[in-house]
Amino acid sequence: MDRLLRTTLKRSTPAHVFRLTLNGLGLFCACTLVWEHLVTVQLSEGPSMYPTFHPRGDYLLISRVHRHGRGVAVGDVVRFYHPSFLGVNGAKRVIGLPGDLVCRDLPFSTEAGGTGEMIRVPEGHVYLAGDNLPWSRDSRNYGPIPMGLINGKIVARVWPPSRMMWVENTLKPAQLD
Amino acid sequence: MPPPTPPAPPNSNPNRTKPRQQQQQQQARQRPRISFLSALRARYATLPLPFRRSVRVLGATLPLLPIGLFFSEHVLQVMWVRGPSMTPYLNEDYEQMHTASDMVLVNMWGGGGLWPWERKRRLERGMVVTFRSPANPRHIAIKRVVGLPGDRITTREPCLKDAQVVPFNHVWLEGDARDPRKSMDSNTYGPVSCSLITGRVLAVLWPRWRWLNWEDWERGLVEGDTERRFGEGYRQEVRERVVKEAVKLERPQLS
Repeated sequence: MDRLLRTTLKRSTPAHVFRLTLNGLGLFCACTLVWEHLVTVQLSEGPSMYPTFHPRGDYLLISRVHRHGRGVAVGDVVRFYHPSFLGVNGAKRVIGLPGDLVCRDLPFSTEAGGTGEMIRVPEGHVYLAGDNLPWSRDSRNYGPIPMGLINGKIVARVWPPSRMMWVENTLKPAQLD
Repeated sequence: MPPPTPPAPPNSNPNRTKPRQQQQQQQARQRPRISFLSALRARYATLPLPFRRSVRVLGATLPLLPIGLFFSEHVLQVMWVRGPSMTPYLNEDYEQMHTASDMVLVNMWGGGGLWPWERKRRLERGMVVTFRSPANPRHIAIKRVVGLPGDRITTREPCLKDAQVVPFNHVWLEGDARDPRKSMDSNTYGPVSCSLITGRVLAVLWPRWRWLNWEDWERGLVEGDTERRFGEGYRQEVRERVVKEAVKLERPQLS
């Protein structure tokens, strides 16, 4: 212990402390950049995506490469900054991309495409909906959201291990005869 | 000086095997213990000097790269303003020179919280902010906050409605240009969510250096305009279209 203290004291010259601080700061910034630009792991919450994510929460692997809606397709689950709450994230499935015609159902309605009006998703916006229709606040409430709010695409559930799986695009094109 | 005596061959006394083993063990104990790290260091010292010097320089500059990227993303950033939408506040000479491009300093710190990526920025009328354009997510736009949540705005030309109440966590952004066709703002795409706002403009660096003070918006002043080129009440007609806190907004329910 005494020896350890003595070596630490001997080594803590200003230059050494400066180097250590610089390296630590660089490591922190590099980790933050990876976390914000490549991958994030986050706990989900809420019942709005029920069969896909458990209402009590799953840890999700989020690809941040897809932020601002880069390379997002219809059927992907995206994470976005909530348009009416600052600093809150949401996760919903993309139903319509810019220019698509979607049926804007009534909020919390259980059936899809029954009532409501057809709208065209504006330029630079996406139409989102949760998988658990009666328990989801989504574009049916607040309308299409700007793609600039999208900050990632949910790729997989990573925890708990029993539910470890890729999150798949369950929307398939309609098969017409 | 006598030549050094050569070491005895290992098989010089084959009859006494047991003591020799002991001797070898003793030698192993007395030999200085070389750790893996010092072996690595010794091997590294044999590499040519230019290589070692470049590794040293790289090691000193490598941490600066993520620090710089982080700084420009979360602390301060320099941006260039293009287009006539903020004329004459920014790009003053746009009428004479259509390539005018002011260099501005943008505060990217989210504000409020401990961490720079927390988004708790407090917005006020008159702040000039940068945000991702709702119409084109690749484009970063720069406009002035004209209305806060709860304000009733009498809109101007391209807008389809006559009046608009700004919803919760949204702001009404407009360019300073007098001609509504020169600015694509909330009159085109409606109130903008505060979550889209990335930064606040602090100062103009070039061509004419000045701090921008958002409190001067209510007083109708323009920074650095000492000879009152823009008159006393700068853009008074815009402020007259805003009814402050016309509606008391309730916090909507988060699912």
